[in-house]
Amino acid sequence: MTFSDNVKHKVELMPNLNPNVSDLKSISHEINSIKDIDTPDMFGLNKNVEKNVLKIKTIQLVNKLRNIKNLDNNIDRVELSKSLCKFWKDKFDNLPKQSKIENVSIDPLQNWVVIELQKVYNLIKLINETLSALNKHSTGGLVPQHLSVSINEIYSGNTPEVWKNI
Amino acid sequence: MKYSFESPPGLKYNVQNTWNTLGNTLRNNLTPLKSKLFFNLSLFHAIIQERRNYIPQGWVKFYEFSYSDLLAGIEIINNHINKDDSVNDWNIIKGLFSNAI
Repeated sequence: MTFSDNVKHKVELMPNLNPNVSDLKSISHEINSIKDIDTPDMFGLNKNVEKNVLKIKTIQLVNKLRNIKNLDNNIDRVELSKSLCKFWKDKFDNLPKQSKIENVSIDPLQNWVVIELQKVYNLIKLINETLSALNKHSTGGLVPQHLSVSINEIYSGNTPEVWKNI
Repeated sequence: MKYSFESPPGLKYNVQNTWNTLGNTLRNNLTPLKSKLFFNLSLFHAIIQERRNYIPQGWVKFYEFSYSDLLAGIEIINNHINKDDSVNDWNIIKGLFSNAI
C-alpha cells in the first residue's frame, strides 16, 4: 500500500470538502461538491499511479496471452475473454467511436491525416465488435460467422487478420 | 425478467448510494454530531472501497470492505451517542472502529 507525499506531510486529501456538517442539507451540499471523476490524489495516491496500475495490468494480460501457446485445448477461455474484454473496456472504452470529418481541406497532408484517423476509428469499432462477440462466445452465446474467425484467432494467441488488414 | 443494479463508479456516487440506500437509517434522529460522524463514515467507507481500483498500489489485494462494515459502523455510532448529542468516551468508539471494524 502506498501513500503520496501529501499524506506523509498530513496535507488534506480533499481540501474543498468540509467535514463539519451539521444537518442533511449541508451533507447533501458536501456530497454534491465532490468531483464527478476521481483522481488518485483524492485517495492519497501519487498522481502517476494510474500509469503504474495500467502497466501492471498490461503485463498481466500479456503474460496470459503468452501462456496460451503452452496450454492445451482445455484452456480457460472464459477467464481469458473476461480479462481481455475488461482490459479493453477499462482503458479504451472512452475512445471516440466515430470520426468528425467537418473540415475537408484541399491540403493533401491534412487529408492524409483524416484518412489515417478514419482507419483508426474503423479499427476501434472492429475491435469493439470482436470483443463484444468474444464475451458472448465465452459464455456460450452465438456470434456472427465473420467474427467467429477472429475469435478463434484470439483463442490461438494471434492477432486477428482482419485487424491487421485495416 | 432479471435485472441487476450496479452503482456507477466513483467516490461521489458511492457516497450518494450510501445515503440513498441507508437514507431512513441515517436520517432517524439525526443530530449535528451524528450528521458529522455519518457523513465522515460514509466518505471513509467510499474512499477505502474506491481505492481498490488502484490495486496493487491502493491495496495489496482486493479486501472485502462491504456494506455490513458500514452498517456495523453506523450501529456503533448510534449506540454510543447519548440523547443530548454527547459522547461518554470517545476512546470506546475509536477502539471499536480501529480494532473491530
